[in-house]
Amino acid sequence: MMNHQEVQEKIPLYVAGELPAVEVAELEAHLESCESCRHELEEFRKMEEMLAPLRLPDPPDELWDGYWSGIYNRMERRLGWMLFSLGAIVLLFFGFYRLVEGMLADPTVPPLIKWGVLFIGGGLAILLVSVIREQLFHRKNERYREVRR
Amino acid sequence: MPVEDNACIQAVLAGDKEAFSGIVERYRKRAFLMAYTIVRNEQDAYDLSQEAFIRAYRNLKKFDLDRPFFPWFYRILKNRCLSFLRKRKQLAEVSIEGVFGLKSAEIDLDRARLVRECIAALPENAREILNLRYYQGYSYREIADILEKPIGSVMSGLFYARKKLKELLQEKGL
Ligand SMILES: [Zn+2]
Repeated sequence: MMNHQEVQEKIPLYVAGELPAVEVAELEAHLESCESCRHELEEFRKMEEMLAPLRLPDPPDELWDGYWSGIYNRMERRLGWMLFSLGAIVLLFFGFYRLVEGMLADPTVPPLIKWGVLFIGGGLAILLVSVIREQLFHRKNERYREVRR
Repeated sequence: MPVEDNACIQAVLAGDKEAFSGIVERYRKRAFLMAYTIVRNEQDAYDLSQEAFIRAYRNLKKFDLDRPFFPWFYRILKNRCLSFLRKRKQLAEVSIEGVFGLKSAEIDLDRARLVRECIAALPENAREILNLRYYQGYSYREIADILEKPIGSVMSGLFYARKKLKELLQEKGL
């Protein structure tokens, strides 16, 4: 036998037609004799009515134009980005090194300052590359927006 | 879960990247709508669902082929969306006036908005079940499969969610 709690938990399955036939019979028998579970069924139906308008419509088909290619490109692109970033960082760092070469070769400048300058150069190179990547990425996203209008 | 999923996944693992499009086509709508119910913004839902597919692709080696694909993917998608919201430090925006640019003229928008606000105010577990059922229209059986829980625990979760929601609605005079 089902108790009130079980019946009330199964009411949604019953209403949706997802309850196995054996249990339907048992549940209906219980409802017949139980005022409070019948009340619960009523309440459930009212709530379903209130929630029905929430159902999201299917998105328009145009939404999928370019959806897969957007994924595929990014699947492919990762190695490309890694190589690009690495190369760009090396080049920028090297350029910076050439710029401050004179200072680095000067024996009167303490080693701590030289290291500091090199770290700043490396940091700048990494930041610059990541900003460039972000810019490229955003431009790509905006293109989706136009497609989907 | 469809046999075709496994065929696609095995092809991808064997090096055929294009085969992943089978998976994407089958689940893109669900993925988009799921992301949408969490982040409440079309553009973000679009991007996040794509990112989740890419993440799934990159982690495909860790996927257990004996299990259904979609619940595994759903966890990836959900985590991605929730961490996106955390980073933004903003809760799901609920004041949408209809979705996808369509205005649903027939429904009372104020009332629907109140209901949405109440759902958004529920604890995560309760909100998740109501999202799947009422925003996205899954059957209870499907919800149990997606969440990888026995149907009994989905039903008791739903029972609790409904009670909570009713309290909130009553506070708002609905
Ligand atoms: Zn009863």
